[in-house]
Amino acid sequence: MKKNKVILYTALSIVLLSAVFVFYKLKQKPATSKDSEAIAELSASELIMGLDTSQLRLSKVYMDKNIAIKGIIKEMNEKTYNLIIDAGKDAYINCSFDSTQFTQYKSAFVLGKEANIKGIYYGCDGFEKTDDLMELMPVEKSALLKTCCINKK
Amino acid sequence: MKKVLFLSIACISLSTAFAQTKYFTTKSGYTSFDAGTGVEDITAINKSTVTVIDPTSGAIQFSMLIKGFEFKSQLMQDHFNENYMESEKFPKSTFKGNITNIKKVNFAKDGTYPVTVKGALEVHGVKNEVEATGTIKVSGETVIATADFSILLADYKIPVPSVVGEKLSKSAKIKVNCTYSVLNK
Repeated sequence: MKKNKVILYTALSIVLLSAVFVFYKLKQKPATSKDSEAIAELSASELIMGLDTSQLRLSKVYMDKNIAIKGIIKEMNEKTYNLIIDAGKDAYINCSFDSTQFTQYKSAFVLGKEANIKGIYYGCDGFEKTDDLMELMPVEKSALLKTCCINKK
Repeated sequence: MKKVLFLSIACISLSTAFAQTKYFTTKSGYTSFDAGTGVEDITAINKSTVTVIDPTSGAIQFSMLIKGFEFKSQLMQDHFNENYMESEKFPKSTFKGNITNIKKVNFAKDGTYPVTVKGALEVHGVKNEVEATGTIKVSGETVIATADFSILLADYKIPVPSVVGEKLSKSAKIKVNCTYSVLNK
C-alpha cells in the first residue's frame, strides 16, 4: 500500500514538473542579444569576408550566437526597425531590432556614420551560385542579425 | 532642323533607356504569417525580406531567409525551423511573379492602385503558383506594396503532426508590406 503511494506521488510529481517545464518553454521568449556577451567582435566586411572564405564552417560557428559587428550605416528602415550596415561592394549586414531597442537608440543611428551593433546571427545569403535567384537584381552577399542592440563595449 | 530632330530623338531614347533601368527595391520588407486556429497564437514576422519591382514590365521578386522569422516564443521558433520548415535544408523562400495589371499603376503619380500578382512561390523546397490581390501606393519616390493571401501547408509538404492538429491551421495567412525606394541600375 505504502509502495503504491510512493509510485503515485512520484508519477504525479513527474507529470507536474513536466507540465511546468512545457509551460515555461512555451512562455520563454526568443533569446535577445542584450541578454549575453558577443562571442566575436568584428567589422561588417570581416564577417562577409569570413563567410566568403568558409561559409559553411563560419555559419555553423556563429549560428544562433550573439556576435558584434562594426560598420557604416548604409540604410535605415524606421518602419521595420532595421539597419543595413555596409560590408563592402555588394555586401551588407541586415540588423533587425525590436521597436524598444530601435527607439531607444534611434538618435545614435545616423546614415553614413559608424555603428557598433550586437545581434544573434541567423544566416547569410548570396554566397552560393544557387542563391542568385532574382534575375532583376543580383542577390548581394549578406548576413542577418536579429534582436539587435547597441554594443556598448 | 535635322540636328534638332536628331537631338530630340536621342534625348527621348536616352530617357526611355533610363526609365527602363529604374527599379524599386528594399532589403527590409515585412512579411508575416498566421497559422493559428484560435487555440494558440501562431504568428511570426520577417523584417528582412529582399524584394524588387520592375515598374516597366511588372516583374516582382522576393527572397527571404526562413530563419529571419521572429516568433513570440523560443520553442515555437525552434519547432518552426527544425520540425516544420527544415530551415537548414531549405534556408530560403522565394517568389517570382508579375503584377498582371501593371499598366494601371502610374509610378509618376501619387495614389493607391489595386493590383493582382501572379507567380511562383517556393517554400520548403516546393514551388507552386499563387495569386494575390493587393495595393501599390505611390508617394513620390517611395512605393509601398501590400498583399494578403493564403497557402495550404500540405501544398508545400510542410508536415502537421496530429498532436498539434488542433492548434495549427492547415493553411497560413500571409501578409506582405514592403516600402520600396528607387534603385538606379
